[in-house]
Amino acid sequence: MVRLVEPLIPALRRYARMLSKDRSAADDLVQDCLERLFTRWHLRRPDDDLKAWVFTILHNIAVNHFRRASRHGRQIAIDEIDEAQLSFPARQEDAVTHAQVLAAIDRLPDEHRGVFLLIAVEELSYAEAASILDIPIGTVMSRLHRARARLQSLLTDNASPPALRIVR
Amino acid sequence: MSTQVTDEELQAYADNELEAERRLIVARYLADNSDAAKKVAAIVAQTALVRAATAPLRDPAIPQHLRIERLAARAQDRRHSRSGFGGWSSLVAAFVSVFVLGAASGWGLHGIGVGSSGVRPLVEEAADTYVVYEPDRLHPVEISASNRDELNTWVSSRLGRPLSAPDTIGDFNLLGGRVIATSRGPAAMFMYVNGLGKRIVMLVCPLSLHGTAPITDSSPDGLSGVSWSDQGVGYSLVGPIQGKELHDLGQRVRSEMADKA
Repeated sequence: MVRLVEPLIPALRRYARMLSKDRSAADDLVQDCLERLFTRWHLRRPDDDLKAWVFTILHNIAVNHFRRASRHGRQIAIDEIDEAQLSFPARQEDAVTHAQVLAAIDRLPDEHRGVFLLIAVEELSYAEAASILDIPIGTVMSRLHRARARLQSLLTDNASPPALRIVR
Repeated sequence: MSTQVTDEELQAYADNELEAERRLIVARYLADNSDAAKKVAAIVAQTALVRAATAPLRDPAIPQHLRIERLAARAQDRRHSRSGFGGWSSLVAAFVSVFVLGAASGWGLHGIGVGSSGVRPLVEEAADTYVVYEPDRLHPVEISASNRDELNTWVSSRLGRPLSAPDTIGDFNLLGGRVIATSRGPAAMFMYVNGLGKRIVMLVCPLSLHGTAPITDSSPDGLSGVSWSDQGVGYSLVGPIQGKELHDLGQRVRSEMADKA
């Protein structure tokens, strides 16, 4: 189990972090996910896609977490992404910094961001993403398409000032 | 086949999600349609940019608090403070009870003995296993050595720690193995056979998190047996060979397993 699961942890942490926008919560989500793996390991069928299975568990934990958080009034901390965005060095106009890319992904609508992260970042297939998010593959494709279009417009729209964010 | 190509299909092409036949059609379409080709190029470029930007967030170092073994230990602490046994998996339960009972019996601290908790010495469990499976000519093992990866994955997942059976112990070759039930919880049994058809058995079982004990000889049920533990894992070799010979084999396996760990 250690040998199979530990290699996935870096990707799980990245996914949780980009999905939650909240770095401190992300590792808690991953930890919950790993603990849940213990209790479900025996339910796994040998031919199951392990990566998709683990991401499904993480995604469900994250969604439940956000649902609870929104009931209690969501807290948004100033994270590194925003700081980076405020302080990126002057560059040629057409160059997009990595910090800007992360900030733009951050501004995608939640349901588009999940699909986008799984496929564009974590390199899962459409079918795996559909299974993880429990949505039809056609919905995966349309959300992905809209996420990419939105991202493109955010990235080419560099002239506009960074969006204001509510803090606390 | 329609040559009408939608934006989502262009996207699927960029993501390499199209079946071969349709992929070919889209590729031909792109050759004649520069607008569509630009869309595909934009998706590919955006994906490359996003992967470059997100790569640093994939930190290969795993912090201590997310290590599987650490979490298993934490689960044990929490369970220790709970009254019931409900809610926990067989895996964690087995891992935990092995630890608690192992600690109670003093295994790993005072060598091998029967503790007040009634845990049996590992070498006796190994001898029992030998007596049951050694005479079996049809199914002495559940997974044979030809599928050793599957065997190693299985026992690792049931024992909650990475484990791989040595291919050979002296002139004994791995025949295969299985997970067996012991008073300590699940254990891995590996069976080996030499050129004369003589069989020996190695039992591997988690004990406590950090227990280590030297090699101890015994002779259960008229067989020769040796046991030791390293970093919380107990090992026992049992077979119908001279005690001295088995002791040497045990030493060899021990250093081999330690090198791998």
